[in-house]
Amino acid sequence: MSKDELNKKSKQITELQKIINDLNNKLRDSESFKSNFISNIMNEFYNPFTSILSMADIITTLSDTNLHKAIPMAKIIYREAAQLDFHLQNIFAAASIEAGLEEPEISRVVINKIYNSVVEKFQFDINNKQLVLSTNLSSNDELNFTTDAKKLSLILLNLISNSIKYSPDNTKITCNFEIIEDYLNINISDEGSGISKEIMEIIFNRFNRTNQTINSVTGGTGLGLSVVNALTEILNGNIKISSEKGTTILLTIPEINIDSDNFDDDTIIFDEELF
Amino acid sequence: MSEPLKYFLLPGALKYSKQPMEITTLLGSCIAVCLWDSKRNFGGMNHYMMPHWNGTGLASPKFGNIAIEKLIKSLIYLGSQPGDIVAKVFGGAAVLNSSECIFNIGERNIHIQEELLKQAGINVVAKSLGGDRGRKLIFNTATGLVKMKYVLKTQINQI
Repeated sequence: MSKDELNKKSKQITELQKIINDLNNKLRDSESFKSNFISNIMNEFYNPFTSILSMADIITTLSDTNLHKAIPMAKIIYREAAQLDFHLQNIFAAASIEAGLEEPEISRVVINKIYNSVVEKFQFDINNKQLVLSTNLSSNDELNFTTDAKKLSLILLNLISNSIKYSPDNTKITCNFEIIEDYLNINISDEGSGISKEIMEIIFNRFNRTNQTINSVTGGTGLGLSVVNALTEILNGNIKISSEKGTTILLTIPEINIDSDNFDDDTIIFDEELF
Repeated sequence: MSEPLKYFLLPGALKYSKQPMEITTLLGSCIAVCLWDSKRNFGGMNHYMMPHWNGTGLASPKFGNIAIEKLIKSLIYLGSQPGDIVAKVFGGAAVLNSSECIFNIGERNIHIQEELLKQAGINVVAKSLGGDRGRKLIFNTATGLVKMKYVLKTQINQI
């Protein structure tokens, strides 16, 4: 073996050693995040269930004259159930992606409808924190796009939920949508505390929470952004997060043509091989 | 005999079935491992893009080590004995400019399947790996037959 070859091999070994070390570290971190996940999830599920059970119980005991009191309680039940539904959607999506079972289900979707149904789920928190949520979507003008409605909806649920979670009271969140050529661009920006450089590097990892010390305040399973990233990939899209004053997320998704075949047989030029 | 179901396998996904099925996929630097139970006549295919899950994002079958392990487990879940499973592997073309890497993705993808299938004691009975052309595969899960065609470079960019 020549000196050059030896040098090359030695370089390769060093590189491999580095990869193995990195993997070891990440595996260890992953295990510890996994155990955090169990405790996060217990809070995320027990608390809403307790509220739902107690509110529903009170409603059943209301007398006819007090029935109007059921409305605010029903709102709380709705809010808590919507939170549970959101967490379950994330967990099931993560499980399905990890099992390799997720695939796009393409249809013509009305972006306004998806956006409205997402915002409706967080209305309670938006009112509670007195946030202003503004959008360029107009109720008179429908924005149509061909994509996977369920996946886009879960992506938006996660991104808007994060913006609400990390926005201080009385601030503004902007969600703008535009279609340029065959791309849907979604821009979500908030006036929150922003994201540090260190956190930015690990933000799409599962079970990561940007600030472990404020877990009890902000809640969440730690799965959200890893699910967003994986779903965006399935839709062939791209996501960019920038954070200076507040956080801005730019999501770009290409339109998927329903009729297009995945492959055109006529263009194959090489001989067929059979195995 | 009725026509087998047709299924297009996307990158990062896997598909296995006891029902006869024709699984099609398109490969550039990615690898597809087709596993077939030669006694029970069923099988499955994965399509991974990178060799190892490095702890970033979800542990999905986009990564070779996860995709291969999951596919083997899936077949065993369907009733296979590891000794009855054979493999046919395709892909790993050098279609991306990888001069900055000491190992290119295609090569590393090829390496991981060799290692993992060997560890699992699964024989590779057919393969078409490497090169600089993409591939289109059609795998019949009932007969184990794989039809493969090379595809143009321009088409690989769309994969």
